[in-house]
Amino acid sequence: MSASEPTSPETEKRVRALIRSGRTVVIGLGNPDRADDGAGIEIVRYWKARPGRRAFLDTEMSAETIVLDHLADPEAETFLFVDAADFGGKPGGFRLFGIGEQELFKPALSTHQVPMDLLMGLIASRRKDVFLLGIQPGSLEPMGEMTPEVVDTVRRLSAWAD
Amino acid sequence: MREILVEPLARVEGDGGITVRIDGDKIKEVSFNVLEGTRLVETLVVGKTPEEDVSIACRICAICTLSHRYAALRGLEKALGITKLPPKAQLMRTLMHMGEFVESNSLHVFVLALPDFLGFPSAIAMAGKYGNEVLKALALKKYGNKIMRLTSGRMIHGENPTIGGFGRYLDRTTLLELKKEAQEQIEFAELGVQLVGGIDIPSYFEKETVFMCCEPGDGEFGVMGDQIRISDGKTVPVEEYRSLTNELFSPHSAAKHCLYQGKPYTVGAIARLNNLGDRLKGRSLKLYEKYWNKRWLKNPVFNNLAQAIELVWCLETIPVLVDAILEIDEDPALVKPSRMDGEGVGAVEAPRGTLYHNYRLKDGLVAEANLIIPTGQSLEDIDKYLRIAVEELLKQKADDQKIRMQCEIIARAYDPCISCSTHMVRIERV
Repeated sequence: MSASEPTSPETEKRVRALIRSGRTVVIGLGNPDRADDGAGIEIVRYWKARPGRRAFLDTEMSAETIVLDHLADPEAETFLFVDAADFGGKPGGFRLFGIGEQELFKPALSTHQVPMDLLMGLIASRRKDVFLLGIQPGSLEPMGEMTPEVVDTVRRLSAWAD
Repeated sequence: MREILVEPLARVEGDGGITVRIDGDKIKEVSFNVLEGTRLVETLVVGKTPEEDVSIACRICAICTLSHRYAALRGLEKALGITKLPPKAQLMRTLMHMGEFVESNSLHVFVLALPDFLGFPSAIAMAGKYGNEVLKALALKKYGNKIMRLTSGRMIHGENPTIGGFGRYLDRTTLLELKKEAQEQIEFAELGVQLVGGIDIPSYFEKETVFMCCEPGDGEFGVMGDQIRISDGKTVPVEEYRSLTNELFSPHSAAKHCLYQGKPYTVGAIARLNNLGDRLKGRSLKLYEKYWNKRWLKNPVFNNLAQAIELVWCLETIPVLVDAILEIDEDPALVKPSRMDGEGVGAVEAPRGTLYHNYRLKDGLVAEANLIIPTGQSLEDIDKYLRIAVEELLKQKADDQKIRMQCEIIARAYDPCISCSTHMVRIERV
């Protein structure tokens, strides 16, 4: 599937449906010590607190472990990763990406971990749907503050689980 | 002027890159660049107690956290006059160390390095064809993580291994579970060796080098020791590590480089198997005998295969360790220090090679610390092999894309862990 339009009503509708489904495994990724890189963690931390959600944080358990633990579960039909992602948008913008949209998977720093595209490929090879909700960061400064634009987006997306 | 920049280099730990500059058919520069900022750990631990040090020093790296903790413990215990640990504590430390090797080697061999050789345009495509293998490799990694978490007490930077021994010991049920899982995983690990062993390794950049690793003693294969085994036949006490490493600054690197007798050298799985491989036993020995040849002495890309064989060795060793731990009923108390002033050098093999932690204690506090990291020791050899490769590829009229890919394969074969290799630059004015 192709990427949704940035921050469009269609994106909101699709993401709301995904996170409210009990059959979606949601995984928040990122480094909260690097400014906007923590956006995915903050959003999914909030979603995780809502009842009935299969939501996990890779700050608590590695992403591949979460995937391995749920891949064989027939009730886990869809995987949704939430992470900061540089797709060339404005800071705080967000997009929903499907499998095969390579533009996101540029080499990143500290990549001695299972590559995101490999995990997504693995999930797809098991005939499950997989998406990445990418939030455009404004700053990845080590120990930096989250930018106001991304703070607004974190608040907005967090509320979608309510 | 042709310029090939790989920045950052993907599928390694930390921020590094490769620079190649070519003027006509002449090489102007080939370098593996370490761009990561300094860690400052050697300064941070000054004035701290040994107990504080082991918890700070391991935070230099989340990948080899337990190797760093282990090396720090060994160095500090020597400084504190603790010369012998109870067997059960030693066995538990070895078990936790095995977990780190299983986790790190399985990730590098099957997920980070293998895609270079299988020729898929993307990891997504690879997952489509080799989905089952990727799943089993990730299960192996998860098993390594589990050992690390259970033995050390936390997923990363666990506190169980402590000065004078070990904190909480594992119960019988948990140990037997770890043993059973090792026995279940070994079949895939052997298949993995066959998969990696079937890959055609290019030979155009081959050249002899020197290999170093810990000498475990007693004619055994192992990943810890008080002596260093060198491929030129020498064995040197770890206390003399400075005469082996001879750190120097390089203008293109935030990490210090090392030279042995003025020459580059390599540490890591390939060094361990080149120096000690004939001491393996059982299945891992059979695989070593099947796949090792003299090209391993000249070609760093065989490091991937060496890591795969080490995985089998780890999975053979874990059940033996578990049985030995179960034979000792009582959990021993911590050994008390016999002095508060002293110096000690601890060396262990981290997955990427020999790791030194050297401490001087005064009045029970760290007065001086020096850490020598595996990747820093191999950097001169990485530069050397990259240069040879580019020279040969230019003779073959290779295009930029091929040069770039081949350089990435060589650098990545070392499984470089760049983050912890960076050090404070010491400026002395005279």
